[in-house]
Amino acid sequence: MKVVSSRRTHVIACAATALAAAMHPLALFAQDPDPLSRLDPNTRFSVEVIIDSARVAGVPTRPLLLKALQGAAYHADNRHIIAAVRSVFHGELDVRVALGSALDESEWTSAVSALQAGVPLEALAKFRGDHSGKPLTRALVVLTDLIQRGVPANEASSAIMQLWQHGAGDGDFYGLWKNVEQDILSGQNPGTALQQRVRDYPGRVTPGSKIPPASQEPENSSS
Amino acid sequence: MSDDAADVQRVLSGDVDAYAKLVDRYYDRCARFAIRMLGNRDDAEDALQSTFLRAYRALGRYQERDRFSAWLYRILVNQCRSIAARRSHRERVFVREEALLLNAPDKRPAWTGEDEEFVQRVLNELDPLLREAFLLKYVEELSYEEMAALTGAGVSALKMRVKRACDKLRERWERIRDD
Amino acid sequence: MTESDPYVDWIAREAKRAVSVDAMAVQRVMARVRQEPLPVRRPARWRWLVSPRSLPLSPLLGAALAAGLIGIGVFVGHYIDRGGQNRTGGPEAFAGTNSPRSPSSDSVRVIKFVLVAPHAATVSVVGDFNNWDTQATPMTRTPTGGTWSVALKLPAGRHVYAFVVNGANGTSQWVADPTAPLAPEDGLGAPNSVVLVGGSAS
Repeated sequence: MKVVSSRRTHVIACAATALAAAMHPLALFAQDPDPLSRLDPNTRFSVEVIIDSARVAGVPTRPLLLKALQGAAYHADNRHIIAAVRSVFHGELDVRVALGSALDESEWTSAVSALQAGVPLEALAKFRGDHSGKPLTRALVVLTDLIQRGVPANEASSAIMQLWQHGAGDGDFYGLWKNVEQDILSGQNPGTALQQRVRDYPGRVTPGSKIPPASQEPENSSS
Repeated sequence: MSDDAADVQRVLSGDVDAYAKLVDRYYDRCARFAIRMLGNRDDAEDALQSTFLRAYRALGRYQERDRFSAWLYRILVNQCRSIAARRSHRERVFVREEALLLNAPDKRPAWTGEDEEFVQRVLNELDPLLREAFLLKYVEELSYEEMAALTGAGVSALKMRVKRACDKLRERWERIRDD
Repeated sequence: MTESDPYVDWIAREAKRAVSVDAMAVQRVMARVRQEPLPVRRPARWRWLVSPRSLPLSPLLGAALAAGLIGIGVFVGHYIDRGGQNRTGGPEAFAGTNSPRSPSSDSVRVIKFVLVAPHAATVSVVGDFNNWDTQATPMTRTPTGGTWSVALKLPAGRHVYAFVVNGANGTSQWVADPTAPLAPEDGLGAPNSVVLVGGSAS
């Protein structure tokens, strides 16, 4: 690569390269005008009925559409697709009972997943209240993952709630998750691993702490 | 003599309990129409009660050559219209009861029945005359001539109402996809 | 059936289903009936005078009913043409919650997805962000060996995804990202990995 003389030009050249590398033509907004056409007509009817029920009930419809599309892409059995969409819809109704409706879309979906993972409804309800500026999505994503990795649902719920009540920030939850994941991979019992890491945190939790800048994280890499 | 005519005869001869057989024979079907037409069970129950009461009072005018179901339905359709007209404007929304889960942690509400709710919802959105025509044609499966006798409207008016009802329902489906 | 329209046919079929009826309903009718005097057969020649008539809908009443001013319930006013414009969507009260706000929607980040799959013929990412289109986002094999990657610009928030690994023999398999948080399999059987873009803390 040609060495450019001025610093400013150098910076611009680097930025342009990074941008070119980053831009993927179909990255974001797929322009399919009728995505549900991937479903067979009967399945589509049932899904549209559920979506309409969600609209009338005042809960998000996009997650239902996406679930149907995922099922279609996966070539899942039609009955399973309908059941999965319905499960998200019913999950949203439960979420609204537990948390109310003042949620952004990520909070909705992470809360539904938490319920599907086995978080008891009354445990979810403890997150209710003004959580603007608080990392509700992150807390629920971490909670859900920990249960998937073998921590009993009640234990995981109360551990995450401890951090939540202490005012743990996004970075704290992320750090906790990374550490517990490592511990489990090293062979530790998941519940124990979580307990130990949580014990490490309360004293050191700094409210409002942030995760590292986005350009470095999250890098989803496998090795 | 049909069962219906025979039972009518028995009632007119003094056997009141024979009327229970007629009610039993037609109640469920009438209930289906009343609920689909009126959109809620309270109003439907009122319509049904007064339909069968009026039918009882008018039994002396029933002629054996008429089909009892058509005769009964004329009363039912009128009762549904009366009740619709009498009720004041009310917004009824099919919502689920939100259980007080914080007090009863083991009980999640059972969310069920989107299909029936959806169908009732789209029917409720139709203008009453269109809904009535649609139900009589495609749920009760009457001929246009029977519908004309029942409603007092002409056959071509009824055909137009049915067509418009179908158009509206079709539009309603299209709208779901525009979300 | 209904002018050969599948949607309307479906509505008719569903509407034809029996409704559940209160077991005591017939008894309630009979209780009231028994309080009535016995009906008496009327002579035939009076029939035209006393036979039950269809309740006529006066033009005004008909119009009022049609305009939904006299309620037959539900969402009156929301699907009526206003000056030729059709309302779309549901009742106003719910308009907000159906499109919940995106989390800090002004922020978009570059996320790099990486998977080690040395024996794969092709690999792609599939997820919420590309409408689960398995063809939309192919990954590139690094020159050095079995690592596949792609960088995407994603809006802030939670996204679910998986990798689709295609073998040379035509097999195709969805795999979770081994180092990403997991969401539960929800009856579809597909693995669900989660990426959170941007901090949710402000």
